[in-house]
Amino acid sequence: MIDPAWLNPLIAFAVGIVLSFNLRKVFARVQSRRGPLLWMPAAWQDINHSKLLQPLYDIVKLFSKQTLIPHTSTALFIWGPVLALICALSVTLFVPVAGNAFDYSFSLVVIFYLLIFVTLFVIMGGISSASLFAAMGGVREVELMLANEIPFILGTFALAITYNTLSVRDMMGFNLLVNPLAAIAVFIAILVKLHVKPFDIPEAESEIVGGLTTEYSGKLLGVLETVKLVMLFTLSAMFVDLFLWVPSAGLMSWAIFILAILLVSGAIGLTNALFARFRIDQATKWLFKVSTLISLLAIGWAFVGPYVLSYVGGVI
Amino acid sequence: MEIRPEEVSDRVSGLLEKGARMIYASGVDMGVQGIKVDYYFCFDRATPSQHTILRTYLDRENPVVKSVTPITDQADWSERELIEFLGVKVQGHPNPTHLWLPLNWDDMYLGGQPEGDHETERINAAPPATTPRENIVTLPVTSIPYGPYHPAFIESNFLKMSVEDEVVRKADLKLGFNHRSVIKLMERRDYYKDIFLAERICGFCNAHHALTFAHAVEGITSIEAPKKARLARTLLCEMERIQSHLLAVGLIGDLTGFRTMLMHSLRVREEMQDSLEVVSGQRVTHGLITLGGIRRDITPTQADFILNKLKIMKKSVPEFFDQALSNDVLIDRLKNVGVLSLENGVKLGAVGPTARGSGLRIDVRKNSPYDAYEDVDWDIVTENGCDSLARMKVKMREVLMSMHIAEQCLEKIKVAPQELAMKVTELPCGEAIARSEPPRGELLYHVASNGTNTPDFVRIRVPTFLTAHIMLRLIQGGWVGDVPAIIGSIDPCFSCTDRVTIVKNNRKSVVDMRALGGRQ
Repeated sequence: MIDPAWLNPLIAFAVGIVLSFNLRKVFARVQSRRGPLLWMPAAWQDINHSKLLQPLYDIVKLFSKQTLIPHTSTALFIWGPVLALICALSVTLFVPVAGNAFDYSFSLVVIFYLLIFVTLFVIMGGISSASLFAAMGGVREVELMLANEIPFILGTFALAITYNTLSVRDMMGFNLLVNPLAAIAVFIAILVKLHVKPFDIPEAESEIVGGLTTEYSGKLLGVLETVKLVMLFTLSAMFVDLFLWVPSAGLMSWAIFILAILLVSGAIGLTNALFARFRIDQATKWLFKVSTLISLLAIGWAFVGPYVLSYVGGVI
Repeated sequence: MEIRPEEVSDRVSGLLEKGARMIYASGVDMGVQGIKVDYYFCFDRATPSQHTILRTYLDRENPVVKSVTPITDQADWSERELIEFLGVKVQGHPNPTHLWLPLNWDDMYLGGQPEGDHETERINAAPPATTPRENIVTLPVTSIPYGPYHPAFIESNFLKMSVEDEVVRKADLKLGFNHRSVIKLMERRDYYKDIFLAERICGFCNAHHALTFAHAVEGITSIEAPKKARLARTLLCEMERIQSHLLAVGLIGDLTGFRTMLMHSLRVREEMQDSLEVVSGQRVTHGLITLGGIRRDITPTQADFILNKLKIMKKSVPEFFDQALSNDVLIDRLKNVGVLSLENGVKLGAVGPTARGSGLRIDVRKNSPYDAYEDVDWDIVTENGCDSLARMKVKMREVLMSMHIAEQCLEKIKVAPQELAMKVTELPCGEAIARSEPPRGELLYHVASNGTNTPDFVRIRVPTFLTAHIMLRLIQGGWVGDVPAIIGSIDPCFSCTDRVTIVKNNRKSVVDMRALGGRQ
């Protein structure tokens, strides 16, 4: 029988659309806007339909448009987004969706590498367009990545230390209580990876227009948007698996998974709405100071926590 | 005060030592008399309501004047305007580059011949054969273009910065993409039509443009608007200030990536837009002000409606400001960014919220009061931070102050005598200047009448003319990421700046508009 984990990429795309909708909706409601509508009265049906699939419509629209390729660009301009999409889709195979995934004793490391590759391919594609704005966006992206990978890896490794494994499935659980500091560190890292405010510096439209995606149009931009959707799903799912998972099976596990992932994307949307954008130097400083400190404390807690807890339990 | 061209430098430096601030320098082609150049000064910080105009006539065949820009930077853009539009040879100007006209302007119109046949000649739209004069737009540096269309600007203009490791080394601005020769159009229309034309110069400070033009004409005819009209004009100006500042504050948020702040400022601002709609029937241009008064009455019912709206805003606006100012990331982005010290502010001739953010106590409403500003209780708002944050705070507190003024005006309007406008019976030969304080700074109109139904000439100095010049100084040396924050805090209005400049020469102005629409 075929492993159900092969369906993960499809699920990632489908649920990613819902997550993107959720993010937009939360963003709009905080701004006292209406946002994309989930349901419309019958009288409006001939004007417009439900906007649940709006993120999908946006991508479909992009795929139906002409792709302009700047004459200064190299072959990587085309291959960058495609390779990024391949990497993004292959990460989903290793991230458990309601418990279904390819799981090895080292799958956490595979996820790290693939996630980094997604970012790198987007950067490569962007800067090969020879656009000035893309170059600046690329520099900013690299700076952010350097500052961000450490807390991300440390935060997840805190769990790996607690459970003494590198397999994601083995460390799944409601670890928000086991190591809340790690949850905070990983959540901040996810914000940076998704370019959520205050960390949307690489694509700050009032400073560098579109950042890395400035020169992209049509189908290639559609591919990049798909990568974004899949990344949104993958990182949210990873947070759910690592910190919000309640062990269960069958339909119950799907219900819990969907609920938790909507919660995470809602939290991401809320953060997106509540902050202004950091300047690049402020962001890297902040990440090195606060985020890295939190993740180091999480590692410390992973080592010391069990002894403290058993000591406290013994006293009680 | 009329002086000879050679004396200009000495007289200007003498006035500046006495504490004068140079507002503007403008030229008018007077035909036989030569090119008339006016230098406008005011003594804001020392004596209120005192103005000095130095006037000199240049030879029409060989207009040469010594530059005063080395003495004061306040004259920089004014003299560049003289160079471009009147062909005045300003000797010793440190940076005589094109500001409004296209870079290949010489090629385009003259086709290499200094006196070509301008009537039949088509514009040479080919790329410039020779590299245009030295300008950052054509300099071989790693530079970031902001514009002509860029998300950080609402209007079209071209800011180019040479950068080194995300730090801006040099910045230059190119204007003129939306140039409309409004002043030339004004000279062809009668006074009543000019009011509506003035109103269309800018979307935000349109009531101030109309008001200042009306003031200038009223100055020529020596009439004064009745009490109700003066109150209504004050009210309209303050309501306009509220809506403009609220949007400007929201835009600072948007430019620093805080979209939520923009959305909420728009939500809060909507009450004011409703009130403006009640007063004038329109949300953008109002058409309320006319020569000698106002065109429509503000009834007690309307006044009550606006008072009610103001009551709502008195609650929602401070709440919105508190929420915005409690956002640490936003404060970090604005604090110590684009610092304009008090000395520099005085030296560069800062006006409006830009000056008041540096602790400079100047405000035309107080310094040379017009309309009903002497009858209401208010004070100049200043902040001492000198940075973008201080400029934003000035705008925020001015909104609250404006609501206070508007409330007093409304209470007085309800009981004011019914007379709306004085009749303008005759318009003698003469000229007058009028100043007012739009949301962005100081606005100057100079209108001259020759006894006919159209003005002899009109000259306009808009606030952005000075503040955009200061903005360039502030951008240099800062981070690329700070540029939007600085632009937002200065809040330049290029639609004002672009439209007010003129081409005096008829032949040129015709092709000018066509060419600028399609080029670059």
